[in-house]
Amino acid sequence: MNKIDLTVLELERYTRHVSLPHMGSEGQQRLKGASVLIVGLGGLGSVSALYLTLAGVGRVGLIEKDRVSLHNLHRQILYTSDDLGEDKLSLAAHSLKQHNPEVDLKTYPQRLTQDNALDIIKDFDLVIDGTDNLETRHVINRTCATLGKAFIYAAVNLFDGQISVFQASQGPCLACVFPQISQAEQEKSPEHLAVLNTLPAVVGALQAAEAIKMITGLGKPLIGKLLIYNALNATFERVEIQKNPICQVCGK
Amino acid sequence: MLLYAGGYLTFYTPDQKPEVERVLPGPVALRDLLTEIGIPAAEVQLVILNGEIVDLNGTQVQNLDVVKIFPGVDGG
Repeated sequence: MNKIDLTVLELERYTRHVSLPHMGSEGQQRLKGASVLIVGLGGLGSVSALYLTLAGVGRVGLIEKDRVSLHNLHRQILYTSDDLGEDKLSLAAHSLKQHNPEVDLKTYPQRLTQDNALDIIKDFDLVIDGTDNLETRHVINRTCATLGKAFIYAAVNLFDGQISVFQASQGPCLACVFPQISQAEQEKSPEHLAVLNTLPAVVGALQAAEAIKMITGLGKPLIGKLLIYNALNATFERVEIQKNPICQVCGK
Repeated sequence: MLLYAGGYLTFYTPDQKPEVERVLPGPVALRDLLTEIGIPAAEVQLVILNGEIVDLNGTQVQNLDVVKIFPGVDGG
């Protein structure tokens, strides 16, 4: 990843980062030189976008087409009760810019599809999966595998959250773990989308942390591992995931 | 044997409790056990048996096993 020099004000803004062991000003310069695309600005995307903006990622891409609904507000932290019916993308960009005006935001008022994914994703170093459906996740997966980029997957449902880093050149891809979309997956009642409101906050923050690690080289990213968080039992379980040699996306 | 039904699969368990305990007479096919409990196997996308991911097809479980199953969760 590129490094970009920090201004005096940026050094002050990020001083608690710069003081971290093995981060230093060099790690912060890498964050400034990095670009991250966040697909979807719902529960997960709101949180990861906020933390990556606050962290000083130089360029943040945002994709979202929906408007704010009342049932979004219990968990989607970039929107308020005054925002009902407004488009999420403009609201999120405004809020993020207020949180950190140093960050360059690029907005895409559209859904990510197989037709536009390559053109959009190619301009970013990393992709954060903040989507609410498996179909788009598989579009991200295929495109990132083609471009050799990593994407940070997450999903939340009821009391359970999952997160992993998929980079097909170094480990399994999403299709190795979730190879197909069942009909049942595509037809869900609203009841099936129930979620504890703190769950996307926890998992979205973990996504942001993985992105920061990938950009700065700190720690070990969740490549080849699936982290499962259970809010009811307050447990984290990390399981190994293997590359599928006959995977339709990354198999040989 | 302890089964944990993650995500919305909890809706299919008795009293919608995510944890289901069973005393088994011997090894049984996980798919048959799910059918007996009332969980549609087609909606199970991830199976973790004693900390390792396994394929639902062909997996057998027995007493002392801990099995966690998850749907292909699509919430965000």
